[in-house]
Amino acid sequence: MAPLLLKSVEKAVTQPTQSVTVTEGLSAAVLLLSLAHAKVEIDGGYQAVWNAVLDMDKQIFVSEKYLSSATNEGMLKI
Amino acid sequence: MQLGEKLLVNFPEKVSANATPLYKAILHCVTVTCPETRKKNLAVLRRMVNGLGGPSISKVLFAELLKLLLKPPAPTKNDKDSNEESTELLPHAVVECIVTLCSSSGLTPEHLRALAIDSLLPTHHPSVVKLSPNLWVKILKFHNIKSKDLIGQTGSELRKIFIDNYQALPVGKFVY
Repeated sequence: MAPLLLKSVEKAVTQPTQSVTVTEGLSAAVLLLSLAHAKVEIDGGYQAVWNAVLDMDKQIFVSEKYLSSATNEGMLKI
Repeated sequence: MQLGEKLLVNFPEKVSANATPLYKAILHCVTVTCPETRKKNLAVLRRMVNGLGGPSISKVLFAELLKLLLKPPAPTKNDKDSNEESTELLPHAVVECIVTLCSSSGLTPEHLRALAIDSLLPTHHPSVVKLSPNLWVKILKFHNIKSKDLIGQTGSELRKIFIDNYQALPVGKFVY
C-alpha cells in the first residue's frame, strides 16, 4: 500500500494546481507520516514525503491557493 | 489539521524555523467559516497546545494570528461582487481560536506569563473586544494569574510591546 500512497504524494507535487489531486496527496502524506512515526520501513523510504510536506517554498499542501479551494475534508487533513 | 498535528507534535525537529505557511494554514483551518469543520479543527488544536511542545506552538500561532488581525482588509471591488465569500477572519472564530490557544493546562509560571503576554494584543483587537470585551481578563482568571503581579513581572516586555514596537494603525482599517 505504501508505494500507492507515495505515488499519490508525488502526483500532488507534480499537479499542485489540481485541488482534488492535492487533497488525495495530502491524505496519503498524513497516512505515511503515521507510518513514519510508528517507525514502519517502506520501499523507497520517506524522503519524497518529507520533501513534499516540508518544502515551504513550493507549499504543496499549505499554499494560499489550495487553502482557498480546499473542501471541508481537505481542511481536516491540513 | 492532521498534517499540522503530525508535523508539529510528532516531528517538531523536522519543521524549520521558516514554517510560517504551515502555521498560517493551521490558523486558516481553525477559523474557517464552516462551524463543524472549525469545531473539529479546534479540537485538534486543543490537543496540540496541551501536548509537550504546546507552549511554543501557541506562541508562534499567536504571533501569526496577530499578523493576520493587523493585515489591512482586501479592498472591496464593487457592490456586484459583495456577495462573494469574505476572506476576513470571523470575529467569533478568532475568539474561539484565542480561547483554544489559551486552554493548555499544567503550564509552568514562566509559560503562563508568556501566554498572557502573547495573548495581550490579539485579545484587544477591536473586532475581538467588540465580541468579548473582557477576554484577556477571563484568560488571566482561568489561569489564576493576578494582573498586578503579571504587570510587575513583565514590565520590560510590556514596554517593548506598547512603546518600542508600537505601530500606529488607523482605526478605520479594522473590520468590525
